[in-house]
Amino acid sequence: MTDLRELYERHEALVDEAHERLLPAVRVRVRRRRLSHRIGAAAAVLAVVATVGGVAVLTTAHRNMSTPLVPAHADQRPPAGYRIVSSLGMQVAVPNSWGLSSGCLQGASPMIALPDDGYNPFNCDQGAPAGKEFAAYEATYEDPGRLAGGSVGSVVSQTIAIDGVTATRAMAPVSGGRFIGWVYAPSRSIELIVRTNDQATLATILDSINLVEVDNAGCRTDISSGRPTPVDTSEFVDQHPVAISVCFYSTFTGDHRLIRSHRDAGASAEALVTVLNAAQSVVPSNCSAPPLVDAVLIIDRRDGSTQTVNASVSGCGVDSSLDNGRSYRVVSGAVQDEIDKARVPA
Amino acid sequence: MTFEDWVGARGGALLRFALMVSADPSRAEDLVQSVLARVYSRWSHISTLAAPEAYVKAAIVNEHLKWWRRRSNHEMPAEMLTDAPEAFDVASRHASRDAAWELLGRLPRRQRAVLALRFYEDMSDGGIAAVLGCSVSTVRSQASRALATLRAAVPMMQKETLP
Repeated sequence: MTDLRELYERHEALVDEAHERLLPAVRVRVRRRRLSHRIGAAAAVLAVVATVGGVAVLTTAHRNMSTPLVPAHADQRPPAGYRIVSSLGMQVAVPNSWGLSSGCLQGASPMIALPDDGYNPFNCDQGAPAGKEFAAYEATYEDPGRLAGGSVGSVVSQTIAIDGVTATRAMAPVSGGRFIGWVYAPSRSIELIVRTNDQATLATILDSINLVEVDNAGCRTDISSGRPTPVDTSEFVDQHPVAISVCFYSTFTGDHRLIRSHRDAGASAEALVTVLNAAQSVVPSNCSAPPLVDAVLIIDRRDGSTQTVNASVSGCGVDSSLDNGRSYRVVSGAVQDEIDKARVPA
Repeated sequence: MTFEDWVGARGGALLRFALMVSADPSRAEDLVQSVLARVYSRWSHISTLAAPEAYVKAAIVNEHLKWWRRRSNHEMPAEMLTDAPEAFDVASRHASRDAAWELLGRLPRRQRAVLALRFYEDMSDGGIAAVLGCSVSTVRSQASRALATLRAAVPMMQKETLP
């Protein structure tokens, strides 16, 4: 027996207690999945019934049913004092003062929570503090009442069409003088839950929602398969880009969806391409499966064309890799740090 | 065997394995719960596999290696680990192992997974390569790097029988 084996065995007891609660915890997770699917289906049915029954069907200004090849709302202007955030194919405007969270609604400061892998407001140890304003993305339907933080008053629910997609929009007062609202689009498997201290802010946020297939940063909601199309460059990537879109994807929802996106230009874009070009070359070998793409970098070039680079952390044959369609580079610490500047909330 | 019976029988082994892969009890629990919730929906198929436990353990490893979990783990560079004790006595031996356990938690995730698969699961390098979807040479280089880091940071481990 090696010393390392002994080291492992000495720590086995750390999870002894977890065994007792394992099966109940798994059942809860399974039930939550089933409930999400059932409620999702029910919401879709109710939406149809409401429409047939003559309930007003509200339509946002955007009705484009076609699949856009360019960002459908790249020119979307947020209200004064607001900025655009996107995830899972849903764009929303939130107040500039709101922070960005990787899932949990910790602290008292207002924020919007993106559905990072393994973390969402429903799995976090602590709920949102009373009085905190927030918006939270969900990849499936979750009962907004669980995030309300108080008793929910009469819910005003409407069936609406957002960019040609049927959705449910609801608002309700919450005890303590707050308001909660949500938009749920079952066919896109996405929900945004919002809690504010005043009804006007809630309405502004919900009214700003767009559903997109290419978001305002130029990132596709669903990742493309296969290697990128190579372009003619003397270096790994074009050294003098106009801008770079950094698109982060995750598979935790069961598919491969855009979680977070960011668009850089100027000095920050040049800093990113500098570390990409400095990364060490590598040749993956003996791949039993293609690497999982964690991020896609879309580089806008001065001639109007674009170059795409796939970034994989769990790459094949190497720890991690960058793939421009023609060759591979290692995701060095410098590359990862530079990419993460776009991912990690400031 | 039903899913419930199987989890009752093998859940402990899965949790211990996830612990060795993640070096964090809470994360191990989350990993196993997350993977089993997905396994449940496909249990009728997975239960017919020749080695369902190996399948689930591979799923745990792959879940563990995902970018997002990796980045949210706040892993620290190995250089930041405090120096290990130098005296060779029982107390320092325990301190050395505590330091080694802490260092395991700070290794790059893929290296940590390779060590757990090789030294806790007694898997061959070929088997590890199949789980990780990489080459045998990559497995060996990962193991070599991880062990070198352990030896460098925890000298007591080198004096004993660290492979």
